Amino acid sequence: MTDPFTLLHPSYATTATTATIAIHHGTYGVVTALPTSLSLFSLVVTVASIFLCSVIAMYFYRSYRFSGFGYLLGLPTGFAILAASFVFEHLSVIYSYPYANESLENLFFWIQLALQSEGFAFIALSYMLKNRANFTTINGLLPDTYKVFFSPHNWIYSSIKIREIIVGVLPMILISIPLMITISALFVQPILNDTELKDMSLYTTLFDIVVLGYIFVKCLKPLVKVANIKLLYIPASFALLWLEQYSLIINYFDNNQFAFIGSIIVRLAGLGLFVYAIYYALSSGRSREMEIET
Amino acid sequence: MRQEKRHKLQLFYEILIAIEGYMSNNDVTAAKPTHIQHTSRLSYDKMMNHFNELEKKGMIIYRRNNTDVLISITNKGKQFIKQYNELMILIESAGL
Repeated sequence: MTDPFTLLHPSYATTATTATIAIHHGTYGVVTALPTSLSLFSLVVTVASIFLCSVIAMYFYRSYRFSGFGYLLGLPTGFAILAASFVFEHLSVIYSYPYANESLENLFFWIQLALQSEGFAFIALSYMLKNRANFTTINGLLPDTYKVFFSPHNWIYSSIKIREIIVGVLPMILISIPLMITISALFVQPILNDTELKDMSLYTTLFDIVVLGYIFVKCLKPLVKVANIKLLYIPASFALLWLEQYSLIINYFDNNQFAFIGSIIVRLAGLGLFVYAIYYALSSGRSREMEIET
Repeated sequence: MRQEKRHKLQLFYEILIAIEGYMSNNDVTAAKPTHIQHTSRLSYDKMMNHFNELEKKGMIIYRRNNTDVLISITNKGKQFIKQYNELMILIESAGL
């Protein structure tokens, strides 16, 4: 019997390529009502995810515009890219039903994987750069890296260590890894197939797990120091996004339906909690201002 | 004790808060530079430079009455304080 959750995300299925093709044939030949409901479900999830990501991106972009703190730009950029990835996720679901469009489905899924990892990498970049130089822009950091590499004086005499070189280059590595993984997959296998995508989805999901773990720790540390439990909503939302990726890994190995449904619910909960955290923080700040005024 | 280097945005905020605080506490329409200097912990020269910049941005009104210098905050200045507060809350809640 055709597994509807495998249909929604065929590339996460643990079955072999032949089995996936069989599923596609099954969908094309037998089921007509199911894809409509599933595509509708996918549309609702996608619209909700895009809306939540856009709200987050808008608030942090406004903060960046107001302050000009370059490191803040990573967060709205990341969430905007994440929102774009959900569009491609939906498109890959839509094109997964007619078997003739498998190449489009694979292409959209490939773009979704690349964008999702890139989005998380940009969010991590904000946390990576926040302590680098107090309130300097991302561009402001480039000359230091340049100095480390190209000044012979620094190489020979100064106390600049390899650690500083790594720290200077790390943001660039972080941003380029998702692109490298996804583009290298094209070099290995120019025509994308299910097996290729399955492998790539595993690598990108593992990358996302590592990056989200880093974001969670970096986000949690300063809030624990403040010791205000009400500020822990945003780390909790990152933890939920981490859980989404973890559920996708379970789904990859086990083809577990509940893990897949759980990943969708957890993603929406994570993004929703993030928006609520912004709303809560701003509204509590406003009420505090009003108390001071009265 | 060595004071932590402050960002320009923070300095603007502290100057504007000092002006607004003085005006509301003393129920007057303008503040004196000496009070602002005391509250914002800035040297006189630097403070005057910031006054010029804030005046150009339309956040304060700088007036000279015979020997006295009086500074008042504009609506744009008040809006800046509000936006700065929101920014700080947002940054703090995101752990950034």
